[in-house]
Amino acid sequence: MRIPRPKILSLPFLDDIEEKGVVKASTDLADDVVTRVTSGLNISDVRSVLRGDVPARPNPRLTPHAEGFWLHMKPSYYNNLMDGLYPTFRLGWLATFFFAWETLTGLYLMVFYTPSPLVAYENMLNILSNVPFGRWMRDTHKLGGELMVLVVAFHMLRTYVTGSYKRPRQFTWATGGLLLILTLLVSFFGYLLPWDQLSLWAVTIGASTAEATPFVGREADLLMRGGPEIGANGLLRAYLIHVLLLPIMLVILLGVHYYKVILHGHSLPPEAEDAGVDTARKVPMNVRTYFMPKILTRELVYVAGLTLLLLGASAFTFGYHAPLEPHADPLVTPLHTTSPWYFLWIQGLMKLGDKFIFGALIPFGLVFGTLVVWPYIEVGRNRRYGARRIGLSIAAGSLVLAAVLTYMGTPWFAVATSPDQEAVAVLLPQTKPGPLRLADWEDIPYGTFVASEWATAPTRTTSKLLKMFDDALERGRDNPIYGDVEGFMIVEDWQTDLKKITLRVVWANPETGEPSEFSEVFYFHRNSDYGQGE
Amino acid sequence: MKYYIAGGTFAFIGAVTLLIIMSAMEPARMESFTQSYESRQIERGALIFESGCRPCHGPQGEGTPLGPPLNRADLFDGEYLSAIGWSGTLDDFLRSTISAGRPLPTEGTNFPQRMPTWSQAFGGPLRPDEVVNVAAFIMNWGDRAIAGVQPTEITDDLMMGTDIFIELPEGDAEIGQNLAESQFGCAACHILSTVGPPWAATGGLPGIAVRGDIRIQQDNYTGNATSGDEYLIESVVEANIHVVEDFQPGIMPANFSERITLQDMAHLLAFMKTFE
Amino acid sequence: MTDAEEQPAAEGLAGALEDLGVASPALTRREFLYYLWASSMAVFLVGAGGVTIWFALPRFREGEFGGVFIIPVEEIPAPDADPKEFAEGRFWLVNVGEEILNDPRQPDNYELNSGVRILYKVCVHLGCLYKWVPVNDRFECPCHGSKYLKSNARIDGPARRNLDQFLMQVLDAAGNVLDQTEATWSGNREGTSLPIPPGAVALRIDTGQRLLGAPNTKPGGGT
Repeated sequence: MRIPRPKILSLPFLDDIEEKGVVKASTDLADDVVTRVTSGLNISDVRSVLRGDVPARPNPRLTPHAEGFWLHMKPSYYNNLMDGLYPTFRLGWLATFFFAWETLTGLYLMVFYTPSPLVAYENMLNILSNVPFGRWMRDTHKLGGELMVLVVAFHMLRTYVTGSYKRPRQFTWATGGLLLILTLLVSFFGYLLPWDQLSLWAVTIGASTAEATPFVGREADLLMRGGPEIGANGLLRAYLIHVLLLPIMLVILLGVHYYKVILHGHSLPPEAEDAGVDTARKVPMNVRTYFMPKILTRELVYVAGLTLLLLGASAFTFGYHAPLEPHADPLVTPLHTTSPWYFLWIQGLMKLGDKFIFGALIPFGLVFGTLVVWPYIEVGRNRRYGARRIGLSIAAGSLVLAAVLTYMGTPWFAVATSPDQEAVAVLLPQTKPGPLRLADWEDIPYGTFVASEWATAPTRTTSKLLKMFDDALERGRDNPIYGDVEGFMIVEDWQTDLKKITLRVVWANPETGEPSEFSEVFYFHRNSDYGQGE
Repeated sequence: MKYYIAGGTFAFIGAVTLLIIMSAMEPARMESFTQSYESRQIERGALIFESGCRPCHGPQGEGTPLGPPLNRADLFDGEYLSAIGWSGTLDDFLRSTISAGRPLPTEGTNFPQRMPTWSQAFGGPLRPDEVVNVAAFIMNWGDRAIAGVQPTEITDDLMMGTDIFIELPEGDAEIGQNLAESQFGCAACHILSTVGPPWAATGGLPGIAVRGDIRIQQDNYTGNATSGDEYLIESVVEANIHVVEDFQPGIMPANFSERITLQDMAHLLAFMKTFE
Repeated sequence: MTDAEEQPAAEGLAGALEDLGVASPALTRREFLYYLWASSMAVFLVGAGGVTIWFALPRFREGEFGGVFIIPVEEIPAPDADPKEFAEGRFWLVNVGEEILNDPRQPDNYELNSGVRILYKVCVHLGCLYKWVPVNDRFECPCHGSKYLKSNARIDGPARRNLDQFLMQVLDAAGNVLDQTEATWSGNREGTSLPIPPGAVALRIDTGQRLLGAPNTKPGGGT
């Protein structure tokens, strides 16, 4: 009998080499490492997954679902019916993808961001002008956020249409509804962070709805803004809510949501089951599609394809770019400011009447409240479309109503200041660059031009601008207080490469003959280049 | 499955290609954005200059009796900075002066007021980024700066004063037009505008060349002029002695009598007389 | 089970719980103590929540918005002149004169007297800053188009009430209060305008005390 040598150092790998030789010991080690990383699949198992072999019995590919952390959140097999796009369109996975995408790009942006009104806007300029891929990070974070709102909304819509919220998945739906609200909120608070005019006033409008809460409205408003108006405190609060509070809540709810999906299984297409029965939990052996490799592949294709799409969407000047307006100014509200597009329907509602009823009670109490508890109200077991005519009609009606209200929330509906200011804002809008800022600097000669004489203007650019100006004034000519209205565009050489452009509207009250004017000045630099997407 | 695998592969290859293309474009893009935001600083600076600085430094920074010229070559070639012993850059000097003002007058000048503080940090109205914008606008005069400009000295004997019967030298309408459109800023309110009575003929009224004669005949005329010319001079140097009906008193600056020389008044009058 | 059926129905809370099928065994001292513990925790959580809100609620100092402003009477515009803006205090100072009182656009529902009024410069609709548009002789909000008269009366737009006012006191040289905005007025919940009596030297405006504008919902103004 061999007496073991006394060990100075206990390294099992050395013992293995001694016992099996270097090659065998190394491959065994590699096998062991892979098994640990995948929580249960060794190299030959992994290769068999990739080759698409029929799994052995018992199926080793189930082990990672039972023992690993990440895959315990995914079902180990799906019903064959759930393997294609219909009925889920993988929208839930898509929402998770966007959550991850936002977290990652958000981390990159945080590296260059300080939540203070003194430097936040300068940080934006720095990200755009001095950080490689900085513009893209900003754009894709913004685009991803808006798409996430859309995807989550579509995910809910799909769940509604196929009746998948019905027993036993009521609670899954409720967490989904809360996730939608959190997604809206996280996106809304992120709006403020660039600290430009758009941020400040869109968030001011949104926060003002909080004031409509009865009894504690003023306090709720103050808590959110950190002061009577949004300033350093408000920005810091929005930042902390955006990067910490809401993401933590999202992760927790996402966990609950995923757990419930595992527990109940994906609900089958309504036509595949007997009415009022839920058979998703028990998938017969002969109709199982295992997560590995088929479902996994499909989900990864989504990841690869979306990465390419999102990368391409903001890669070039012509793509999607997050807007950046002038520095936030708490003393000046730009004309035609609106809240973020997904809150426009609330603004539309608020044009209808009382702030409390239409701004708080209906959207937050009625709409979101009903949305979350809907499965406990509509308790019919039958998921067939024919049996849910009322429910589906309510949904379709709500969507149409939401579209109408959204239109009513935009500035085109019942927001008009005096026609002279509106006419100037056509050329020189306060919430986007607009035709004058985007015009060709070289092609605007010095001189005084009259809007109605656009046809004889010296250059194409001036002629085009004057025509727009004149058309806008034309709309004002219907107004009885505008007699003899005329627009002027006065272009002066002001400085090196700098033109002073005055837009002036002059009119006389037809009854009293009293003359009036409104003018706005824009200094135009040769290289200001508003068309490069920011 | 093979289509999925191929598709995923192509997607990532495409993504890498895009990353490479973007990497190649990024330096130019950053450069171009830097240039554009520096240009926009000048644009915004011009707007702030117009409302805050123009009343004392003049519309083109040429200076007025209230404030020294800024648009001058010796500021941009460093001569002025070394004369006052400033060790930083011109940009620093501008930002510092705009932010904190000038509590003491510069030696050899006799301007009636001190430069006030403009930065919010020192009790003024401007945010830090706005101070930077104004400095950027002033810096943009650099290559066109007017050489040999000196602070306007207030020399009493040449100033117009409030004597409307004084004899004026020969005036030139073209120079008068320049004065009206830049230094004295008359055009802002009286030409193509209705803040003040328009100079051109409007709605039944003749131009101001003739209008003076009508005004002095009116019952409610409160001034001392006895001729059309005297009326026009009076309305410049003692604007509030008679305010035309329907216009607000006190809008027309009351300090023209101290700001306009006899010669300039003559030029201006010649220009006003062109509005028949 | 016959035993149970014969028992008379338990009374009070225990009985009610029993009927629900919740509490068949009697409440033990231990269980009771747990409930006591849980309620003490609930009380603590409510307290901690209250303290958290107090912690996060912003506080105001004199001279910054939300605090008190002193305006000398010389700065008051002439009666019926354009309103004057005080950006630091977030308010407009209006001097109501005959012309404003007799403005045909003024809705009849609101009593209005001549004197000085302090209007909070934030639109009561959604918090944008409305602007004075001299041509139209009214305030206009750039966000959603609410329109208000100088007097504070809403005449158009999505806003549903008149502009808010701040409480104001008229002080003499010794700092005595000569007059102050009354928060109530018969039939009108808004503040009154204050005529400036002789001997007044300053206005004391408390931007922490806001009087909400009276409801005003009809197109063209009025309730």
